[in-house]
Amino acid sequence: MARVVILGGGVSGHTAATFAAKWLGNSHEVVVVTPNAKWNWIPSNIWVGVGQMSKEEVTFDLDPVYKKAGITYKQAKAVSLNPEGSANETQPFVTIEYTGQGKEGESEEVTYDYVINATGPKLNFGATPGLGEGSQLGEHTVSVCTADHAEHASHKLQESIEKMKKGERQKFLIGTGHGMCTCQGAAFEYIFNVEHEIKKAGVRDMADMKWISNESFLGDFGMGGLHMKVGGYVVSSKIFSESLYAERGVDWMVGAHVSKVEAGSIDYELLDGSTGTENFDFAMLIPPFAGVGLKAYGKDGADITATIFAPNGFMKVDANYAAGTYENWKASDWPRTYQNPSYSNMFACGIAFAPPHIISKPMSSPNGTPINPTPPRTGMPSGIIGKAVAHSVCDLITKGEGAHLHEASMAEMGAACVASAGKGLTTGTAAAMTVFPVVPDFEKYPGTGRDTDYTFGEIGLAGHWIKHILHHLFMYKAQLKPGWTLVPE
Amino acid sequence: MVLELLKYPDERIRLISGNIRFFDASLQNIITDIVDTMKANELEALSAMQIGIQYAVVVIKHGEAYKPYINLRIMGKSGEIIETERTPYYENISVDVPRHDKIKIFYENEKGEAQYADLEGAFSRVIQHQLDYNYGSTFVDRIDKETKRRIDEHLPEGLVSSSNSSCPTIFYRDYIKRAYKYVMLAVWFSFLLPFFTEDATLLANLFLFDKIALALVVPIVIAYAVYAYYESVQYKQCTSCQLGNVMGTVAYAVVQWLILTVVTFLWVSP
Repeated sequence: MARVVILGGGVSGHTAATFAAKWLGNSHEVVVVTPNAKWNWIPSNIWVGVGQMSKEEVTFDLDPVYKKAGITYKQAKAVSLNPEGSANETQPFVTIEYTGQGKEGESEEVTYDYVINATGPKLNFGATPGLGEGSQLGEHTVSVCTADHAEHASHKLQESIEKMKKGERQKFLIGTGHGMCTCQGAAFEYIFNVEHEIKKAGVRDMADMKWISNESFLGDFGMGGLHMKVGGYVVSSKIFSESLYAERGVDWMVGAHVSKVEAGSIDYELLDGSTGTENFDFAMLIPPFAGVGLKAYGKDGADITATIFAPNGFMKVDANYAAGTYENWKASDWPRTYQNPSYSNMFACGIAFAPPHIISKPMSSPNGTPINPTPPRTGMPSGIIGKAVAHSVCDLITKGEGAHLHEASMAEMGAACVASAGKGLTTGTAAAMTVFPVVPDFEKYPGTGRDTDYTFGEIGLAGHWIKHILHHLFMYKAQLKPGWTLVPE
Repeated sequence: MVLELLKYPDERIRLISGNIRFFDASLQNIITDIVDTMKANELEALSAMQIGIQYAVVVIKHGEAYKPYINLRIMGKSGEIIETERTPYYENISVDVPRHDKIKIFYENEKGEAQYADLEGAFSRVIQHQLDYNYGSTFVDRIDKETKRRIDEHLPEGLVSSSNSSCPTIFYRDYIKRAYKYVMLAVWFSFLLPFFTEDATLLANLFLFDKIALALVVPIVIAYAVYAYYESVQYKQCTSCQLGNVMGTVAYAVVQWLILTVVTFLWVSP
């Protein structure tokens, strides 16, 4: 009997765990180690952040779901990996520290045959002074990265709305809180949902809204832009975003690295090296992501973290990390199997794997500050990669060491963003943007590296209806209700 | 080499340009072609896409010098000015376009060195105008809907030359959708008949027809749902979006069907 240990229970970890449990059945053991008691459908946190959904609507308890699926659930955080075992343990193992289940603070060594690292990111608030301490959100800004953060953001938003109702002008600053952030899409959705809420509250004229981000152009979204189909022709996300910002009266600034956050103001550095200050009454700034800080030790106890993890803390996989500068980047640099090059029984998926390089054009200010979005690896690609990795591990267990590994390259995957601006069934609007492939393939598609003809056709129904449907679809799927395998990633 | 300027209704104007990654002889050739074409047509500014080259290169004439702006970006802006613009693409059209008054730009020179500038007035406008071509756009995407509609009517083939033919993803499920839509449309029209006749047999036949038609819609919608699911999972990506769309479409069809059924039994039923 083999044991698969999955670290993390987010989109990719949960997908990997549930499929592995289904495919392996009772003859093997699937263990999930995650510090959270609840699963969270992260994209809907945007709606929690404006008070349109409750925290309970976007989360559910993991325990009953894992019981039903026959998965061993350890509510704990992974601390370190011993891929060769240790002096008194021949099997490879992972050291965990409980955060719940009545064993808080206790340590345990969980041996494994295969390990899937799907820990997701550490929300690195500490990267920008004032944004927060380490992984803890600071007092000056809000965030929508977790359901709890989003709930807090919603309270702060309500406070601002109350102030505006009393005649006090409010300045809203929303975007990214560091030069190397990803997830611009989430902030983009949030700013327009906030705008929608303020308008609904009847105080839009009391609000000044500004977008600040590390993208080099509006609508980059960390992917060097996407495109959408409008009235039969393709429109760049830049042109679309610029007209949306103009239409909604939202000011913007891009190419910005937030260098410091204080009460009511931020300091920033622009791509041209110039600096400035921006005031705010309400700020939602996304933190940069880093690896969760897993350590790795050799059999003799030596620290081998640098062998397994990239300097940013993400796990090394079958990617080409020596691609060099922008002109040398190839689609083939991107991982296909997500297997660790040093240890073949170790995989990483979702945000936890180290990408070979960014997707957008790299940029830095004359002072050497990198100001460019890092690659998004969330949502659908995470799910697809999680499933592929689970498939590989199951085949390795059932068919033996020589089994063919399943592949899922982001250079062969498309992505679609349905960005909603307002939740109402009749009043919201949304845009659907697509891109193929996620990672530009300059050899196959010279120039942009993208198939610019590629769209999914125009979204027939209003996009935000789809967003609603997706919310329920994924919450349904993740809870393993009947027919869950029919719902695609 | 002097190249031909893209003119309406050339669809290539809608292509999105790639960033320049290699600052080598091929870039020099692009710049030379742009400059030659500018000289031949006495132009003050030209983007690579305007001569069919899908790269983010813009050349602007300053006095007698031609200066390339590569991988242009606008980082910040302020103010708004409305002025009349023209483009060689849409000949004989001039239109008032709002642009940012002041902009902060990033670009690279021929050697790939990062450059920055703060611009205002006419220069700022030219840069914004030329940058649109890099993103598959022209000033028509910058103006109000009413003006856009007037231009659309004025042009012989309309603003949007359909590029549907180049889209590889045609959903066959849409044919099934059309089938049940037509059937339901026929039922809608049948509701008019009782206004014009009181012939009992005719109305009885109409009721029978409507019942058969409505019964027919059910298997077609089911077929649509099943086939659409099959079709959406053929793609490796965005299957969930498509599925969401399909579910919405089916729900919409069910609601329509229910309304039709209720009306049929209340209104058409003899």
